[in-house]
Amino acid sequence: MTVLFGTLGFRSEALLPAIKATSDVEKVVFYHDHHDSSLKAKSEVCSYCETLGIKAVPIPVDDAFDFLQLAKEMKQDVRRYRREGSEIACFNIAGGTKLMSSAALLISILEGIPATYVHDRTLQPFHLPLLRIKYSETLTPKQREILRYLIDHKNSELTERELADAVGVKKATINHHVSKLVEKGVVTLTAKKGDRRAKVVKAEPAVELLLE
Amino acid sequence: MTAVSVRTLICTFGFNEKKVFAAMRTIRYNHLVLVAGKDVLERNEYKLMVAIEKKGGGTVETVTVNPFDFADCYNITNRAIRKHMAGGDVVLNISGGTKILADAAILAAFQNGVEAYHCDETTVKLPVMKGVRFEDAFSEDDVRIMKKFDEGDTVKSLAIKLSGLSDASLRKSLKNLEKLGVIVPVLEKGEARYHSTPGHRDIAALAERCTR
Repeated sequence: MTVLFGTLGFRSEALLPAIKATSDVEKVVFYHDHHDSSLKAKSEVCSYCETLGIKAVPIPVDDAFDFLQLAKEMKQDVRRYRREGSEIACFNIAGGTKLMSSAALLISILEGIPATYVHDRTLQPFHLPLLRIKYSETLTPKQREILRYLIDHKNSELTERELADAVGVKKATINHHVSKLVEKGVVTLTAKKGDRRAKVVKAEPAVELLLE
Repeated sequence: MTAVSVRTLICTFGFNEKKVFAAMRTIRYNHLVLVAGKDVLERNEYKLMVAIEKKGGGTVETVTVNPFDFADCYNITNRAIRKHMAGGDVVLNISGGTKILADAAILAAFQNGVEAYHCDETTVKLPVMKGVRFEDAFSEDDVRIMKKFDEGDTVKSLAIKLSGLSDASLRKSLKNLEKLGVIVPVLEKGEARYHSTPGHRDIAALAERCTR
């Protein structure tokens, strides 16, 4: 199944041209907030899709200004559709709040999905120069495993030694991986309270978006 | 004498100076660059920001864009990032300005592998991996092909233009460029002809970015 993703604000015109310009779309999944104007735009998109025989899946968002939460929800949906065998044709990021749009772009970059932006005036979709790469694949499998462990234990104060034991590698090996991750800016190292020789390793919160 | 490392903070800016102030508070920097629409320069919010930065002993460098033109925002932000990367570290704050400007800046941050934040009432660090550039996905052969690429090229026409590149290497690179979503083969009169995808109409510019 070919699915088009989109964000929607007060104007259905920010999404409809993207649906029109994408061939063989069978389903349109779009995010909107609870504002009256957004609900009106949602009805217009649903009605347009119904007329064309396209299934519309409107997804209400609780907080259209919570960037990280929006990105997490979008990532989950994108991955779920992919797991179910759907092909995501495109993510149109023109509608909705600025943070909805930015979250959608972020997910398009991380997941390697083509993205479009319907121009406000011309109503023509502009194709963004994204590459179809899965961004997380620029990490090694071991680095991904370490990040996964850190995210799963984000409330713990894990030292490098404890992390090494947890992922089953030597202290020197973990030091190597952690220093690479620090260089990439995805983890931080801070001195442990009461033991300045030991370092606590933490993953940056948004890193969760990179992982499976 | 030790060299002082320059850390440039590039902020997208619209009419709300508070978003830039949030970044100035949160992020350590010693040079401030604003990316903004031309009409912003006459506004009091902009003048206030310049004055505040001057009081702190700094200066503001401003680059102007058409904040409703994605390509313009993207190209100019990209250029500003690259210029300042040559002299030290670059950090981006994408919370100010139009939706288009913020989105263009996000893409430019990932493109160049520079740290990026959304600073407002809360600060969110985007999961950009420092030093990981989009261009790293291309091999030298890929770049050679992109430099010589014309719409409608075939394997044969490219082989003539790229003497010295083996048939196997040429085909491998074409496969990679196709996988990355840069080109697509279209069967025309029984022959596969390659075309750029809608997001990469300017392949020569992409090749140029890869060689810098």
